[in-house]
Amino acid sequence: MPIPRLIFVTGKGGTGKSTIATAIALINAQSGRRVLLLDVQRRSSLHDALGVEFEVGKSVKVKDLPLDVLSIDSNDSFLDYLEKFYNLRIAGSLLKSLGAMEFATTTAPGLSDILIVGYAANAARSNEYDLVVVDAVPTGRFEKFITTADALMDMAKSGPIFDQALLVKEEIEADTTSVIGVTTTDELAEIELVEMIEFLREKGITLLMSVLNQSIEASVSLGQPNYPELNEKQTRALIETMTLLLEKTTRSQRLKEELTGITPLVAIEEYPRIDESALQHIGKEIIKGWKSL
Amino acid sequence: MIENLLKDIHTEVIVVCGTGGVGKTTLSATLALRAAELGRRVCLITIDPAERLADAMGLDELGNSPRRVHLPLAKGTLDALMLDAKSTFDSLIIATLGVEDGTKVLANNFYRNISTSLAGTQEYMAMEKLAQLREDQHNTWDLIVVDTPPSRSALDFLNAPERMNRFLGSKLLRALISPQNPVTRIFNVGVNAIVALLSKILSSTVLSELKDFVVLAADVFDTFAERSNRTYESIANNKTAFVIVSTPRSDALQEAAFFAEQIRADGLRLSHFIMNRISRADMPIEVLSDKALLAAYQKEHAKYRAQLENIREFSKHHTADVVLISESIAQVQDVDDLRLLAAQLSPNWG
Repeated sequence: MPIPRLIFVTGKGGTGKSTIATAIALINAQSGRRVLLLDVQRRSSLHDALGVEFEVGKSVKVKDLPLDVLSIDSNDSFLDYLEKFYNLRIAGSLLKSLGAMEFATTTAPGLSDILIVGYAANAARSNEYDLVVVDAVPTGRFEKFITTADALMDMAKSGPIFDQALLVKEEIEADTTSVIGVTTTDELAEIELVEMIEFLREKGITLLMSVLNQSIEASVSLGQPNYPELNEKQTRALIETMTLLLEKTTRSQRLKEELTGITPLVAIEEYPRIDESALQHIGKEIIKGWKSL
Repeated sequence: MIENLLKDIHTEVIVVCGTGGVGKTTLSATLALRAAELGRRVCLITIDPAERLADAMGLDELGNSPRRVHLPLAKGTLDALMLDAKSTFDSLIIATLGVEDGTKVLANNFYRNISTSLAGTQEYMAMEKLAQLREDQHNTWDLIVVDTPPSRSALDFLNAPERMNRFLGSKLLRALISPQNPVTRIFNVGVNAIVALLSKILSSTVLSELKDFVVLAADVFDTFAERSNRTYESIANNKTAFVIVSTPRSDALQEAAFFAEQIRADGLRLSHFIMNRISRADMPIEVLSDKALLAAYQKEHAKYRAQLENIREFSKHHTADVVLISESIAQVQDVDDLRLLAAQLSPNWG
């Protein structure tokens, strides 16, 4: 499999896709690749973990690393688009002052998505970066998001939008572009992941791997029902905690079995605090899993 | 205590926000159930609940209009509905324009896209649904609990009308609808140039579909704008309380902080944080003959302490009452499960 230069990370809300995307970007940058981490949902949390200031539309460099983080807004990419393809920065500003930007991105279906996906595709093609990691929309919206070019090509049969959409489509379907799906042991998250994988297969989009986040593997049993060393509260806490833990372990195992044959899978254990060191650990685990594929 | 909020007859609307995946929908149902048990006449608006939750409330399905949830032991009542953004939008179009013009709009390609896939439609329609329910409220309900669509921003929900108004009020849109309007004539030279540019970018077919849509639906937009402003005003006061749901993970808490700041900045009333899925390993255990078990427990206890530490740190910067809900593995199966969750709203040591 060729080394990807564009990776989209998606998953059900709350599965930790931002964390996974950030970890992948960080670990690649630490090994010397020039990386752009693109955040399409304008979340501040991953900026905090990387210790950089959050500002929509402004790319910030992570200290001492070839890593840029950008929270992208469709209006920014619209301006960028006008400048790149029409040399129309001034017209862009004029449009902005008239409220036309919102107008266009609000009304034209998929325009906002195509601008964002297009921005990612252009950045991946450019010589500025070796890898672009997109912290993408949740799986519920991902199918529309990733195939926005198809919809747009359908509407605009020719013209600059069509050309731009075609470029984006080619980049998305290239084998240097791939998707990473994130799930937890949550049943709904798993269902969404499996549906998305099927969809990607139909569309000929590469799935690099899936990540089982917050996986639990406890190999203990509760054993005897009473614990003379413990008081009542401790016994309750122990039994409740272990019951939960064992159920989660069972779920993790079942999920791994269910996903075998559907997708390569890397399991990541739960980190209550997502700081730089947690991100590094997660990144290393993913790289390790990736290499073993 | 959050029960005081639920009981308080002056609380007319509770808006539950939070990012996706934190258990917002289940906790909205829990709050609604508890309020009904405490004697309120409650209506719950849910957004895209898991089928299980509808089952749990004893409903075959949650429709777009409120249905009674059977609660024999409650002093009050609970009705629940599931927001169907498209059909809410459709019925508004028909109600405003009448059947003939309304049907044309429903068939327009542009409208079809907007009503199903436009980001913000769900938020906007949630506001619209709230407006409809508010009109009936004093006759039927004394509390409406709103489970907001999962979004990155608490204000996506509240600002939906404002965004729509800004869009509808844009000079460009007005010029598109009535290019011959004398007031805008001077302005039109510039507008025409921009329309030409837009049609180059969007292609002329797209633009003409849009024009048809805008001309047909102009009245609807005006009605929407007016209604949504009224709704916003009706909830931007002390009768509406905002509750933020989060998990104790640091990334989720950062999102919660973001929500809290926005709610405060808008001068709205932030009443509680609900911290969901707290580890159950809440007691320190030092000695246990089974060493493997001890180690596994201690790891979980360390996680519990890290979670509390995260919450403590969070509470330094964001003041509102905090409710802790313990983690449970099982999905909510029936009303009794919701009741078990509800029991955690009133900690018995309080």
